[in-house]
Amino acid sequence: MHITKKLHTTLLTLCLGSFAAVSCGKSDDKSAQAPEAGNRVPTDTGLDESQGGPNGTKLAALESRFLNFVGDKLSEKAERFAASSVELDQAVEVLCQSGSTKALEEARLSWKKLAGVWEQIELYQLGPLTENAATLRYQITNWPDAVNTCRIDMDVMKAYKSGDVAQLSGRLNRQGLTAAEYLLFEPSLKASCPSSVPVLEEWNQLDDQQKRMGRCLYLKAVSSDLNMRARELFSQWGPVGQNPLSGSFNDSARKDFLQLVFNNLFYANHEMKYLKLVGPAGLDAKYCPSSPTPCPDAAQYPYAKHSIEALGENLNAIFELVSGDDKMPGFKDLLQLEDSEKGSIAAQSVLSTIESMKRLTSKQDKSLVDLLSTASPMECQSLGEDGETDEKAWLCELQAGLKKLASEFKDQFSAILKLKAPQVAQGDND
Amino acid sequence: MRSYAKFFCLVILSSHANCFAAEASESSEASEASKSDVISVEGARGRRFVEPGSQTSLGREYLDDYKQTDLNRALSSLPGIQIQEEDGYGLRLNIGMRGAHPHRSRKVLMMEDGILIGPAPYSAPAAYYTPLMTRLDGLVVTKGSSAIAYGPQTIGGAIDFKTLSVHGDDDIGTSDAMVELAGGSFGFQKALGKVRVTHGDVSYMLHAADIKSSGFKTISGERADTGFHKTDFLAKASLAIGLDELFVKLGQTDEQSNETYLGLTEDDFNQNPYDRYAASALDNMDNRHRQLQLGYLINRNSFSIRTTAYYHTFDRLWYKFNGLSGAGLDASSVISEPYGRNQHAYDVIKGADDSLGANDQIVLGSNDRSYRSYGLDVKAEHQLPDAFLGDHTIEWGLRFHGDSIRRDHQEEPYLMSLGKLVTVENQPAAITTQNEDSAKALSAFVIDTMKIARLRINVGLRLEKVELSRTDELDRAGNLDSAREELIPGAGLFYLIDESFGAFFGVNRGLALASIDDVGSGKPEQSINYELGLRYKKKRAAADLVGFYSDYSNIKGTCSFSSGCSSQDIDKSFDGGKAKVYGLELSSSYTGLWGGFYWPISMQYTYTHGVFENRFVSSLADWGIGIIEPNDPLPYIPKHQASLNLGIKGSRAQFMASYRYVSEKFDQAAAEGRKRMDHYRVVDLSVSVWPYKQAPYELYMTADNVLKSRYLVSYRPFGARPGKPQSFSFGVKASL
Repeated sequence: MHITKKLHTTLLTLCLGSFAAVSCGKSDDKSAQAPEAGNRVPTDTGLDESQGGPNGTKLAALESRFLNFVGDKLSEKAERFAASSVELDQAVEVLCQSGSTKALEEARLSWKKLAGVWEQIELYQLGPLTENAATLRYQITNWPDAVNTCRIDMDVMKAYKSGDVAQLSGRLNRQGLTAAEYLLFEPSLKASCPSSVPVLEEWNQLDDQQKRMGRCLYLKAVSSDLNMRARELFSQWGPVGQNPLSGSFNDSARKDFLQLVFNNLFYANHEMKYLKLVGPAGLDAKYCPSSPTPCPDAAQYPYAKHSIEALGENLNAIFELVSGDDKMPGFKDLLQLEDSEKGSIAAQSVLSTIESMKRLTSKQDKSLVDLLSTASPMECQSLGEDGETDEKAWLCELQAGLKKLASEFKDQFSAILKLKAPQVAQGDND
Repeated sequence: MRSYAKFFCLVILSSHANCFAAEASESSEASEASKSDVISVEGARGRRFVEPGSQTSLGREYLDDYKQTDLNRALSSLPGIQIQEEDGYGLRLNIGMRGAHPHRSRKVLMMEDGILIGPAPYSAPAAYYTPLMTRLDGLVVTKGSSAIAYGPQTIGGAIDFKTLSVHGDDDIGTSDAMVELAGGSFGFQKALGKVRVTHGDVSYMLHAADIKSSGFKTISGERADTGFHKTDFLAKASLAIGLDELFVKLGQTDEQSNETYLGLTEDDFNQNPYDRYAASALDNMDNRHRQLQLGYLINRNSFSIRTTAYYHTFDRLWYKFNGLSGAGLDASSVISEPYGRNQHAYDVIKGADDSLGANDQIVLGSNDRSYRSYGLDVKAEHQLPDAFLGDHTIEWGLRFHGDSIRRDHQEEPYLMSLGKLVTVENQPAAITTQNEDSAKALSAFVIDTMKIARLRINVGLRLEKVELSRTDELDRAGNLDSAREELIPGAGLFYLIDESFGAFFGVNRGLALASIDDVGSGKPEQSINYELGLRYKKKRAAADLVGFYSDYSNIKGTCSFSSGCSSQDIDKSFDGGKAKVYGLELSSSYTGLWGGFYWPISMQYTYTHGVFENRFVSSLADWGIGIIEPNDPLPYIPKHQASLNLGIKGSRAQFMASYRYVSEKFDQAAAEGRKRMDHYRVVDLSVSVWPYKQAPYELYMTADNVLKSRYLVSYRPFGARPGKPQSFSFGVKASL
């Protein structure tokens, strides 16, 4: 009985004691704490310790040099982008002071130059361009999202009323390259809001000069912000020889980096083929609800009519990654080292496809928007049939080239380099 | 008519001693067994003090004292229960037990008066319907080896919601009536009425409730109706035929609630947890539950057999934010990372930016589902004194059950324009799901409880045999048929150390059947559950201390919209391999008598450690998409939970206080993207006065979350969700 009583007391004491223990403080158990999300770019750049014999050593060294090359190319482009953004900023300043047609043309040229550099950078999904859900990249351009021209008009009106440089709202579809494009290239100076929005009435009461001044006040804020983001990109990635892909790597880090760079080639598939071509051309209802009738509004840079040039810059960047340059290796060299015969064929096939597409883009006089505005419903399967127009043939040839590129990357490059092709959002059913 | 003095005396004397285990003696249950409402599912399971397993309950007194309308708040007073709150009002319950995942209470068996009450417990175990608290007399929670009397799920345990008795509180067959009116914060209104009449051998009871609130959330900072309106009718009748009884029960519950799956980003939650985004402005749940039960109780000295035929329907249409139109735009990701590539989508959801094309439209889904559940349930108990090796009580049960769920899901695009949702012209709603699942099940169990001197041993076996089928009207390849058959053994023993102290041990197979379109092995979720406990009861004091260990050989999870899955994965089950859950449950109660007042006090503490034991790649949103490593935590299972209930009761007034603590927990198991939810503490109060000595009028005030805790209860399905803020209600209750 004595033991039983003791047990009774112990049990009740436990009840109250444990209650006090848990209710008086936060749990200190750290065993299941969530770790911080890792940086998407591997940061280990230690020396390679195991390279698997002479061939392995040679391959490892080549891969390291290739990565150095990629890193340095991005450094160069980021530096050029920053410099071009200064030029745009200055051109906008001049435009806002003079308001002349010549100044407008100068500013437009500066924008095109900046956009051209950006199009060579954009396929690099590395480091600061991917961190924080790619915040910096979307601050530079919100493409493929649309630019919110109505909200820009409202902010322009606000800036005009205040007479001072606009304060950006932080909304990504009202800043960056696409907002600057709208402000510089939209020709009508009409408000783009529906009639239900009050800004329309106020806007219509302004004369063209006042409208341009309003847009300028907003454009100044946009170009200044672009300049800041461009400098941010360069400082975060680093200069030649001092970026995350500089130096040498251990096996694991090198392979991880290589995979990341390889993934970038598939920009040719989703962004270039689907978003920049198939969608606007109306070749797939997923990207263009009115398919097969084209969706010219979905073209990149619709106001500047600069999408074909953008495609050309993308092709230049891919060509560079594959070919390397006089001093440094590209994917071509890695392929040849892995399998001299198949590797050479695959690399050559890709390079010649890119060359032919570059010729295609450079020979096209019309912009994609103009070309699609007159195009009849599109279906590339009927290529070669009677009634086929030059425009249609051109579009279908470009699409076929991009499809071929994606296919080479997915099948040949991936197999020879022993790298994984990223999961494709949509099958190649077009 | 019952006198006020008698009524008050009952309230005082009952106190909280029966909030927890061990309140009923064997002799008192003998009289309980004669009434269909009371024996409910318990039968021999009602012998709680000597039961070789965990069984806890909340009684009428608790419900009267606290006057809660949220079952989550009531259940948090009981040990071993994990709750994932959702809307702050308890409209949708997410209950787990002993580490079983709480989402939509799939792993817990829900019954009302001993009959399966989930809309379609076999075809679609998600519990979108649970009884309104106002129709309850109490509830009983059974865990461990005792749970094999109930199925199909035996993995966590069973909850039996006991509705208002047709026979009256005091079981002596008197007539009574009650009216209650209350109003309070956030447009809260409550109106209840009950009439109970006994005339000779005939008894009947009618109950009606109407509860509404305009909600405590605002939409984009503006006051809006984010609340609910529920009405509930319950009718019961009973005809005594000698010792036997014929009984019938009818019920209907309707709900309109402007509830949503859309939560907040962490930053927005920290600024104002009670905000809602503009994309959820049209969200609305409309549901109706109907039930009909008809039964007969044969009651003899040595045996009783209760037979119930039941037919339940549940129809619901939840029109709500389902996501965004853009390919690759996942609403959960947008809310988790509302910047960079997701910023525009986030702005559109919030109403801070406009939809600009086909890729940034808001998609609202009308998830229209009709459930049917029907069957014949037989439960029996035979007393066999002085049989082989001692006294035996044989319980057995047989159930023929059928249920079905029909899904008609559609999605409709909207444009966000200047903070408002606007329909998209020429884009009609698209059908996303059109199918029907059905199940036919045979269940049987037998449990022999043997009493030898101070030892009580029970051994039982349960059979679940189910045929499942799916007809997919959109895709014939989706038509499926499958069958499941499982035996579920369990055994337990209780040793009476002395008249007020005992120890028990139990082991059983825990099981939850795989869904018809299981994407894993097709095997059920299964575990071996062990428990070891000590039980104490003396006069007005009671305590239970139970250690438990659930050794999962295959833990399973099930997809739902509400856990973040896409429409093509709804109700699919996934394998998670080995897992283990162990812990400790402690509950105690005591009613003191000092200074002319009664001082009821009760507390519970639960420690739960639940982890995966395998490394595998998860594609189930509940666990997180990605790699799960050994020792990754089971989501929504806090390590520590505690509650303390205190009261002071005098002859004309009473004061009750409830405190609960829930420690931190995780939103998912996979390390990548795993979010931690901080611990929280909540205090609720209730004060009642009886101003007139001779008149049975009670004036009361309740206060929920008096300390104004701002706490996060869940990240599911899309973003952070708050617990209920500080709120008050004032009411009057007249009992005649």
